[in-house]
Amino acid sequence: MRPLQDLEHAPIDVVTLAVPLFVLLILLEIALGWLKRAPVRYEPRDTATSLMLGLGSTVAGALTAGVMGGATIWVWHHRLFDLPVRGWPALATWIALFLLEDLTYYAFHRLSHERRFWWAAHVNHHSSQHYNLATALRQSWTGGLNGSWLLWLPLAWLGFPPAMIFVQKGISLVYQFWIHTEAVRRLPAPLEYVLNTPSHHRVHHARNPRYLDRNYAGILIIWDRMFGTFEAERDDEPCRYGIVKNLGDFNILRAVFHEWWAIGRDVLAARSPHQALMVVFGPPGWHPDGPADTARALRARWAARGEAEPTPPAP
Amino acid sequence: MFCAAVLALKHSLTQRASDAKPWVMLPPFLLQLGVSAVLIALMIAVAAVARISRPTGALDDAAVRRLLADDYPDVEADAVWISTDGRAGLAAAGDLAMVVFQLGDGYVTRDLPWRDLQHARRTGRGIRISFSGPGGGLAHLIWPGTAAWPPERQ
Repeated sequence: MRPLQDLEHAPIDVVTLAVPLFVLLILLEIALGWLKRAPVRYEPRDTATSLMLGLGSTVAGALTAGVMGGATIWVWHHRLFDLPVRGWPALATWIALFLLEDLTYYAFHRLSHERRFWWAAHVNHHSSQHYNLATALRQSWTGGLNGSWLLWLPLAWLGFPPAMIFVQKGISLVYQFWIHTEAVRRLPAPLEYVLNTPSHHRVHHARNPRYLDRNYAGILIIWDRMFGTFEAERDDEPCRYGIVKNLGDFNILRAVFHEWWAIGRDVLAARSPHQALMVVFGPPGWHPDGPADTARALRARWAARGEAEPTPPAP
Repeated sequence: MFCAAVLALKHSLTQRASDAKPWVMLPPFLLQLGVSAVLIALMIAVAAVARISRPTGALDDAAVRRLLADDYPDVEADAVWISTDGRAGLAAAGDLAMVVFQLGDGYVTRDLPWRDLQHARRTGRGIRISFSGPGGGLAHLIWPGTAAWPPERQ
């Protein structure tokens, strides 16, 4: 087995190794739907868009991986601590990394929903009206360009080797794949309390006002419970998936770039530098005139209407 | 020509065996990309064959109002018209026109000023309303040629 120092330059690509598993699980999920053993829905054009977005993200990721990897290694060479990476003490390093990386993911994910500049890169993951394992592969093409990867640099600065960070990020991504399903209803309560589960993540993908901008967790749902962003899935309010204004077609380029396009349009229409800054870095849905359509505003209006009754499913 | 091609292939295969090098050198990333593309095609095909889309019945007045209430909860439609194929609907609320149209097995809503409906394109079977913003969309309402457009409001 290679020592971790060597892995600085040749880390294990957990996500690539898991690709056969992704394919098998998607085929299994489709089979469960076909056999009517689980409430699984696949629409072929939606599936094609999701999978092509996944393929494109690997190309886009490869274009920016050098910069991200180089920066992480550079920061690690200026690290604060030499953390143990051999033998049993390495276990403590892995546990600490698991927790800190998951917390970093929570921060990244929350930023990606609550600020439009980062939402523009993340929105394509949410633009499907379906929630299935193919949706999980609907990954960002522009996430490497908006600098969100900088959030992981403090881990390298603390002393976690870049290879370990890369592996842990991969583990987190692979974990998050399987929770994109309606085939699994609920896990046993203790697991639902600690882990991000299909139920919790369904809420995250829902566009019902009650569920907007909730459950940002990667692996552990405890961060949402700690920071007040947790919302449990309710049986009397089925999740309606997608974004507040759903896309009008299955065009892949629209899915990737529509929010960037909207930002550009809104910046050109801004009447002051402050407005321009707000349309770029304010919350998604902010606009200078009239009532805002931010998640917070939508939820406040929903609460004011007193809509406690369940939402009937779409026809 | 066919024989020449077979001979060339045989020659190259023999060469490959004797050199003990791959016949074609593909960068691993491109190979991975190619295999992924094949697997994607397989998964899309299986999803299509399985036919497990959501069932979508024809829209009626209540369904259009319900879909609009999700996206425009603060707006109440005064009147609703349904495309004769049941795949799209139009609603009026004051100066606003709201459109619902089917996309795959889901629905999309859009709005525009009522007066802009007159710019919608007439086609052989009905009306096409194109939405050119970042979210895009094209609503196609099957609309009798004899019926007024925009519809008359009482």
